[in-house]
Amino acid sequence: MNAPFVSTFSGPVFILVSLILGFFFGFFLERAGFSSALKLTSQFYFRDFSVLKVMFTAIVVAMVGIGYFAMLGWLDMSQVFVPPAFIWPQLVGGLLLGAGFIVGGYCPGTSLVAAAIGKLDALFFIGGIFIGIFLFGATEPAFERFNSSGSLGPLTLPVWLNVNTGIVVLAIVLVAIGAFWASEMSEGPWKLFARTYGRAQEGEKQS
Amino acid sequence: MRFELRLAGKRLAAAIIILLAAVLALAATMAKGTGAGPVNADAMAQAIDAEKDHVTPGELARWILEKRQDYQLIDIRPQWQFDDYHIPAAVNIPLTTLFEDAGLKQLSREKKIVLYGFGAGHAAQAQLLLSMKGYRAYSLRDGIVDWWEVIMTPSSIRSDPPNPTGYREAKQLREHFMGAAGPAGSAAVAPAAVLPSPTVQPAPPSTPPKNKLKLGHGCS
Repeated sequence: MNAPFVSTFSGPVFILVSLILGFFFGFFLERAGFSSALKLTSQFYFRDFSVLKVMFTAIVVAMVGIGYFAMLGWLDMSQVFVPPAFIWPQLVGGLLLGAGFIVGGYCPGTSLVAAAIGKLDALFFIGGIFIGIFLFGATEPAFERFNSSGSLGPLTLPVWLNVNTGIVVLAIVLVAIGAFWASEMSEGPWKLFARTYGRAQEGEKQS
Repeated sequence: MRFELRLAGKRLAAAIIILLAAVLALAATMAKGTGAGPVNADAMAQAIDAEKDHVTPGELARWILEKRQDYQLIDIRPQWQFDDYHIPAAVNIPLTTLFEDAGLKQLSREKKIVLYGFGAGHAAQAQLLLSMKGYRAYSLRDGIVDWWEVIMTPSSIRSDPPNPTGYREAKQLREHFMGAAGPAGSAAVAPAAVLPSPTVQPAPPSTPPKNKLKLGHGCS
């Protein structure tokens, strides 16, 4: 027995399955409040860590679930696609995406969710995404060497650290719990926001 | 009161997920694998039939070019043959020492283990033994002879009909590995010794190259 893979479906069924999965992904992003640029960027001001909590919860639940599926033989892990790692371009790309996230207030997925409920700023954000895609596409040959630098193949943490997969799963769960605790402390008792952006909070109190 | 209840809910959720992950870690440690479990003879037979148990020379060459880190390439031939010529990135663990503690200790349970010998036989048998021990073992299709035939031999003198689309890639791979063998090494000179006349009859790949290649004999 094996869990269904994307390649199991083809043609219209593939599109239908993608639609259903995409609908629920977007729906739950919206329910988590991620259609608001204010809520999303609050994380970078240590005020509201909903993004970290929701995303890390999803990662941990999916990770432990997949671990059990593999252990019980329901899922053939060798069939799971692992995207290849290109350390340097991914590092720079991640920094660019983070900077765009802070400035624009959305990440690509949440901008679509926000546009779906009629947010105007999200439409501009999506426009920016497409301009960026075409600019990159037009200038791609100039980055070709950099884009393939630091290639490590489809590397996973257990392979890289040479540690048992189960141990890595447990470690990531513990890191997640620690991150949840730290973010709750930052939102409350530690008052990281007030310490870092003291004046802004005073302004908030007045309004 | 309500606040306390919510706090308990969070702690409960944290405790449950830690417990689940701990059970997973414990089970995986006891299975001594990547959660793959003991070898399943039927699944392995299916993989062999689908040719998923081995790696082709072309695949291996691309892995080396991409500097992939998710596999270990093991040369199971005796050391003197390894010293004569080996595939770059290969580590020599002769078959006689592979299953001793010192040999097994060099293998990672998290990575693909790609074995090769002179021909296909020894590597395939060692691969089976490793799989039974829970390693993700593969073998190079038809051994180093096949590597030499597919990667190191110019396509113009190959027995198979010329293939214009594959030619450029084959040339690129060949030049890379000719260079990688080192200009000081004897391997870079080897192809001249191997060059048969273009009129040579199509020979089965199991025919060992000429003596000057020094790939060794009788261990296929």
